[in-house]
Amino acid sequence: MAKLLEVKNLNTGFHHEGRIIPLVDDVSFFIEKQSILGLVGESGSGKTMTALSLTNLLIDRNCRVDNGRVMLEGKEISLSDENCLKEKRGKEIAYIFQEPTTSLNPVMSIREQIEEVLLMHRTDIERKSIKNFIITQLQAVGIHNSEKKISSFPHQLSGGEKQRVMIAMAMVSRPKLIVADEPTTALDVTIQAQILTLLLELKENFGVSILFISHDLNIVGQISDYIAVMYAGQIVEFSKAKELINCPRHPYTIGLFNCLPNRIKHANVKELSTIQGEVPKAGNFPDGCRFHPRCPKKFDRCSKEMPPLISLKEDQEVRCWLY
Amino acid sequence: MAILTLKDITKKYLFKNSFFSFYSGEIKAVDGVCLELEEGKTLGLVGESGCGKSTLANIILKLIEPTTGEVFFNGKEITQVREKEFRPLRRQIQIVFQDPYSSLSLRLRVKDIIAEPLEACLMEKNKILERVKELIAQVGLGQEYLVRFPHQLSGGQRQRVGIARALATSPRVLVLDEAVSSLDLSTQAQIINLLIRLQEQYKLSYLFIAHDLSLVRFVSDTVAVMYKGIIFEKGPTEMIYDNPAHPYTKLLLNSIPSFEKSLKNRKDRYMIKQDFSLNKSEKFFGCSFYQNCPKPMPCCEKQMPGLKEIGKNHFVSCFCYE
Repeated sequence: MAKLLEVKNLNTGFHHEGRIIPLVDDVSFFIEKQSILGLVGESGSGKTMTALSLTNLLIDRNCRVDNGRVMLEGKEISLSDENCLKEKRGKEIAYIFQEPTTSLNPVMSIREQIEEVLLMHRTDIERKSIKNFIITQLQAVGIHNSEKKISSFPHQLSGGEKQRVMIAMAMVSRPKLIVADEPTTALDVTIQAQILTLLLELKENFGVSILFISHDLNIVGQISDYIAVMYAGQIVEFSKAKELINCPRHPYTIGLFNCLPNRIKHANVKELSTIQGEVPKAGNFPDGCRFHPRCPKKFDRCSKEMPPLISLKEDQEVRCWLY
Repeated sequence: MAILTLKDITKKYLFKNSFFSFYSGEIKAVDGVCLELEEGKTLGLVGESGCGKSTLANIILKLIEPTTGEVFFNGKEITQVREKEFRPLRRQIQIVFQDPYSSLSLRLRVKDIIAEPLEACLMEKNKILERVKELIAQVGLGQEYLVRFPHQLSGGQRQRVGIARALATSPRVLVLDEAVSSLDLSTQAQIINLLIRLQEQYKLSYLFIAHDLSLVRFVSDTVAVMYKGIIFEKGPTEMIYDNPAHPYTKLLLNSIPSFEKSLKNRKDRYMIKQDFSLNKSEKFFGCSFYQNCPKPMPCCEKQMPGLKEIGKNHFVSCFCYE
């Protein structure tokens, strides 16, 4: 299938007193049209920084995209041209964030907030029909009673409804790519299942691609077509979701799967298997392979040389000297 | 013999519609909860946010008073006991909080954090440091951590300090209020293993509050499912997970994300239709799950079903089993 987004050698770093602390290090991946790429990793592994770097949304002035190319449908997005980026943000690449409560403006009604996006990106809709358009959009993301709900304020909605409003806001400009950064982490399991189903429906009905960021392997495994595993700012494994679940290659991925409590089927297993040690902090990454201090299969070479991403077969890459 | 027994615990909160009006209504945060925690066992408490899990934890710790109902610790009723008399018992029930970032004082060193409960129960000063060293070793941290401040520790290490603090007074019951929810997957597994080891070593009883259902299955001996302040189902873990009886439990278990299950087959499955919240002034006596239940019956609208035993130690609150 055709590739929608291609990211090549993305480097984002934190500049501090002449030093560069790498947060995203040589990250390359692609997303096919109408597919979902799951990006998994523990906190501090650079998932969110990768997502924000796509349209240079980095909030801190000391954080900069140092290197890398982002191609949307074959056309390069210039990461330094603010005007060009403004056109892409929201219009072609839309974001959904983790905490719907903090991402919505508390003093604006739902209608006003969605209207803002429409006025910015959808000049083809007439002013008169905006209200009806918003109502149908809210219905499409499964909000009941949306005629009444559009005049309500965020605090009057439940967590699930707020996240649906966020999704509706992302969808009104008919983007090609939605970046969903932990969209279900703040929600209960029952609501989470609904939001995941909604995202799948959007993919099928509107042909939108999704970059789905989460720390939960279970969710990512359930929803994604491709999975990229991040560790300490790097992608350590990238392959088709089925392949990764059935046969994880990188020791870190294998370790993560073994940590999952729902893997344990027997009552007589008393301990969860763990990965030794702690996630290294940015700026403090070990030399050589960044996972080697915690790796059960390490050998001499691992502590000296950083392994490159090694292609095993088509669409499957692992960053490990074992292969 | 149960170490902790909750009998008919109800906690009501009054609210006003406007600042000037009188109290015009009440919300039952916890409604008629009966639970038992066996010595050396783990009771898992699951439910959505806002269903009253933490309120129940606070009642057990005697941090808030229930409106009605009784809590028995080791056969002794504790809700009516005065604070002064309760003091010696307080050290036997301890809590580990969810967020290791906000539950540790930023200005104290690790050794002072762990020593605080010991000072509070008037331990001799020269013995305290010895005990602190012993505790930090038990939770798997080196002696060098004693002089550090919380900001120098990672999330997992902080939670270990939180556990050491809770263990300081040699409690018999430990309330784990979402104790591992904020940790990363690999660290979470380490902390769970630590908790299991400590339980075996000291015969601790755990009240394990969590929203990760697969984790609850792993650690708990018995499970209670809570919804809007009411226990809908309780029983042995295997029974609940293999044969859930209440429609809400079934819904919860179906919603557990798993890479082994495909989302596509679940579209026909029923789900909560809307986030239904009761109009505050409106009185509704029926089953609180009525609006979302896939198989509602006429009697469900009129009254709340009571807990009924349908298997050995397996209780359900649903009219389907009356």
